[in-house]
Amino acid sequence: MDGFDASAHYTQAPEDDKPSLLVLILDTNPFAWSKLHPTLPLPRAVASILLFLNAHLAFSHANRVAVIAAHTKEAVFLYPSTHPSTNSETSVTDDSTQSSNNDPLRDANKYRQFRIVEDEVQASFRRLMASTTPDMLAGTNETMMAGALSLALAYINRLSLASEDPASGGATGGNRTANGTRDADVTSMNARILVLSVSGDLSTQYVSMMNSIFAAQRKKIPIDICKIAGETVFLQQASDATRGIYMQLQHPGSLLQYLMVCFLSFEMF
Amino acid sequence: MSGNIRGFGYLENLPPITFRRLYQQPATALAIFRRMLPSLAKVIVTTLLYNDVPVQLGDLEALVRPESYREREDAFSKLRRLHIINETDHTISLDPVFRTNFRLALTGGGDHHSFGVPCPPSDKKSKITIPFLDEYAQRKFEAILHYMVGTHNDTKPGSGVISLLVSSGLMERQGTGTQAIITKNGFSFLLQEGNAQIWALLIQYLDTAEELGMEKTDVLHFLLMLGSLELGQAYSVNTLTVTQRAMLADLRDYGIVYQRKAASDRFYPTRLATTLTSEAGGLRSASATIAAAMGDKDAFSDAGKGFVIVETNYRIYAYTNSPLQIAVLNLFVRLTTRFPNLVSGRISRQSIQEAIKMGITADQIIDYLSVHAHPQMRKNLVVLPPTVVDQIRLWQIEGERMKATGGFLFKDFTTTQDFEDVAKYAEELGVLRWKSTTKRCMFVTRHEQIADWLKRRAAGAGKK
Repeated sequence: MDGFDASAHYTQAPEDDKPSLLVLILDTNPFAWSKLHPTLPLPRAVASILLFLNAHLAFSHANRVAVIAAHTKEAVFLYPSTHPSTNSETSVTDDSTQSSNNDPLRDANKYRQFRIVEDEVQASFRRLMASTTPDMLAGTNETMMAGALSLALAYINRLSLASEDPASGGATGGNRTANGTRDADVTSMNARILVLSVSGDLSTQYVSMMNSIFAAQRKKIPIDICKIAGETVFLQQASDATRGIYMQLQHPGSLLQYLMVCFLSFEMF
Repeated sequence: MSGNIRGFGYLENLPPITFRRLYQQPATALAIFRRMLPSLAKVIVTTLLYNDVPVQLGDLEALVRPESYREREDAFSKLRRLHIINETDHTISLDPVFRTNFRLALTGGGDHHSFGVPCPPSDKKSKITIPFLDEYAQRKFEAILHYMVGTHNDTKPGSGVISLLVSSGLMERQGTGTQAIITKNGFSFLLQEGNAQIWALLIQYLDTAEELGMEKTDVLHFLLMLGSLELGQAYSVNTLTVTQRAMLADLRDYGIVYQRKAASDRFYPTRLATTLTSEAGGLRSASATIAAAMGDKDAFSDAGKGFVIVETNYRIYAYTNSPLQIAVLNLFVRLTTRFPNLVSGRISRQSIQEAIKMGITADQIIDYLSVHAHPQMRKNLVVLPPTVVDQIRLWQIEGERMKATGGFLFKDFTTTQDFEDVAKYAEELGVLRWKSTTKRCMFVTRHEQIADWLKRRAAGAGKK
């Protein structure tokens, strides 16, 4: 009797279950962070961000993250890192260097994907901070926000191209997952940019900023802004034009809660 | 999934005490969060995760747009059924055990080793590579499928697998000692995608394991943990419980884990294991993933990749020589010619209706064709010709003059108002099939949410 019943399952068309790619841009302007230190020290902010990234990854097996630091003079990828030394540390799955400096029992307490992201973000962050000398900072107070946005858009574009052509998929993020499922599941991916901003606008970046905003608008990539300190009109425009979320934090100390409640959900229900 | 095969969703019906015990392991909490919750429920969980005080239910509901009412109710009911949330009097909070362990999973703290203890690579590690594991998993799992369709294959599945297939009703024995033959359920099992097939087997395994005196939660912990392991990495057997070690032997037979020797102190999860907790939609099918990973170098991989071309004139060309694929196609295609690397045939009203008589649904056929569509067909925006898809559906409907829906009758409402409220709620959920205002009774396809709602409403009324 129920042999032919095709409607037995109770489905609600899970069309929103596309994997999503989150590109997080962290404003690492040292001046702004030193001002913020009493309420939100940078290490704590980084810890909150890592936890937030883990939560994003926990949402779905196929979810991806990327982290970009918008520093004073440059915008660099924190994850996936292009630095050769971290690649050899984290990408090879069964190398001996890793097991020698990591206690296997410690590894057993953490989901591997989380650990890879965390280790790499922390390592490249440390490297970025070590390379920032007081001389370099003298006389500047800028943040390469426009550069970071372009990097993020370029990265998203590259991943979506890779998904259309599985043959080149392996070349894009060699150290992503060793599970090898990427070819099958990046085919239709939602992408989104989240900016954690602590500093103000720079009028010199206006043109490139607007270009990025228009590109994002065209590609339907929302730019969410989590404004921890400072004032930016550009970023307000960015989130408005791309239908992202703009939020000025009232209590920067509870960054984690803001991130978990407001910035995690991809679609608004 | 469909038919009488119980899939992953079966786990929802476990008793509360089992869930509480499952949540004691961070890896399990993470796997359940990831695999079993709808996305809105995930958002609710993360919202509550770092809130130590209970949140007003109204506040949480305000987060959701009013027009997404149905998703919201679905999310809450899932969370309740999985015992992830505790509700008291209009406030809501996460189950403390779940909260603690899910936090541990995200932060990576604690001392639970629930994500598996990796082994340092052995001297002979060069032998166990990812392609080797893929090949092993594919060989083992295909052996099961081949056995089901009765094709000859070099490797015969273990006796444990065979008795599992029989006890799950996928195959049956006509008399003792005779060769088991495939049942209707078995055919629709074959048409499911890989991940669903594995879960269907594992759920069955879970039931038999209990009869053998294995602890159910232990078994589940292990299965869900497997999903979070890393492919190509060896894991230590020493931290496993006795039950879990006993399971290894069985899982080896399914191709889910690999061990060099039965007494080896390490095991390797295969791709079948590491994709266990991936969402079904994310993977086209485990075999396709394996084939993609293995590339063209193996003849086996042709089986998993797309090989079927469907033309608008209902002709089908399948570039395959695998007896398994041909047997599956033969379920709903009238095959006419066979060449060394190609079979061709056509879909007809008769062939489809024969398949439907065997318990295969039109959707399963369409899914199978689109999953296995040839790369050449994937270049089109619409993978399968719409005429063929529509016609297959129409052929199914032809036989359905009368449609049976399993469900539940609600009757004996005290007031019309009461009846209307419940009917409205059921309609919003999309479970209402039929109602009669004069008789004050209605027929719904699912009752859990409504019963839940009635209970809560009664509790709310009692307090007022």
